[in-house]
Amino acid sequence: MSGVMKMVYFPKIKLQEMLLRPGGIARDEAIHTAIENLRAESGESNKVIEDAIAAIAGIAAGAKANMLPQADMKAIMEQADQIVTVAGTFGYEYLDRAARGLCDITDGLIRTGCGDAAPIHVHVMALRLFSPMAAAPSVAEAEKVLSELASVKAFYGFTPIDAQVN
Amino acid sequence: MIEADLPDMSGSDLINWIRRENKEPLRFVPILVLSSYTQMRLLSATRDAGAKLLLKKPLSAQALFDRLAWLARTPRSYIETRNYVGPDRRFKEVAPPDSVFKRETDEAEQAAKAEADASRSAAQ
Repeated sequence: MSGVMKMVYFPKIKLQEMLLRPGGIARDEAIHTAIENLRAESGESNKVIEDAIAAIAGIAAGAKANMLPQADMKAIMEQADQIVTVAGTFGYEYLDRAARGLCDITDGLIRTGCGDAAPIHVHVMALRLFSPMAAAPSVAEAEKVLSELASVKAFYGFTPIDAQVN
Repeated sequence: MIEADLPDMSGSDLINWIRRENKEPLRFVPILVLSSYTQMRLLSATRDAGAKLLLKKPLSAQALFDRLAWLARTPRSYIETRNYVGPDRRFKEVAPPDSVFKRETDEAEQAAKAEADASRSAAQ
């Protein structure tokens, strides 16, 4: 005997009971309604994106000798993370990629204890360019900007956050 | 449904507290964890704390509905050990051992396998 106590439980799940109850609406109807509700929120999502970009720009503008403290980097990463979520939900692909890049950069800067504000400024410009309120760039222009952002990340040698997760 | 990271504490801390709470059914409530891009490295901690399902944002309405339905339709036992309280994470479906066939409908498949074995030995 290993002496390790293990208890096994078979709890009832309320969600399961609700699913077995008669009535309700069909899956497709529920999803259709949810998508409609989500589309109705798209105007608000643009404001969330604009506010987040403005917040990042404001923090970056407060850099002293082009350096930012760790607390500011964390605040920037939170805002960039919010942009990733909203941009992904509403299908703003270029904005999503630029915001992910900013998350990767700030994460790397936090991990290495580096306070460089320059890469943040560059990403803010890209976020403004890809904002849903701005004029849509061509595919070639967008890819060019995103490749430049990738080269900034390569310069610092930071890996994407999702590549660090096992 | 919780975020992997919360303003006052981490999602894994909250799950740990819920799972060790003695009052059922709160203790075994199915917990679905949503992770944003920068929270992805917290996922293994929330899984080990006893989360039932982990989902990465952004999330479509279809994906969320289907995962919730899966949670409801797939009952899982809960395990309590010294280091872990949460859903049994072993739900890998494996074939019967040693190619043992159990149903009458498996006979055709079993015959085909025997024939393939015989031809392979003849070729050797």
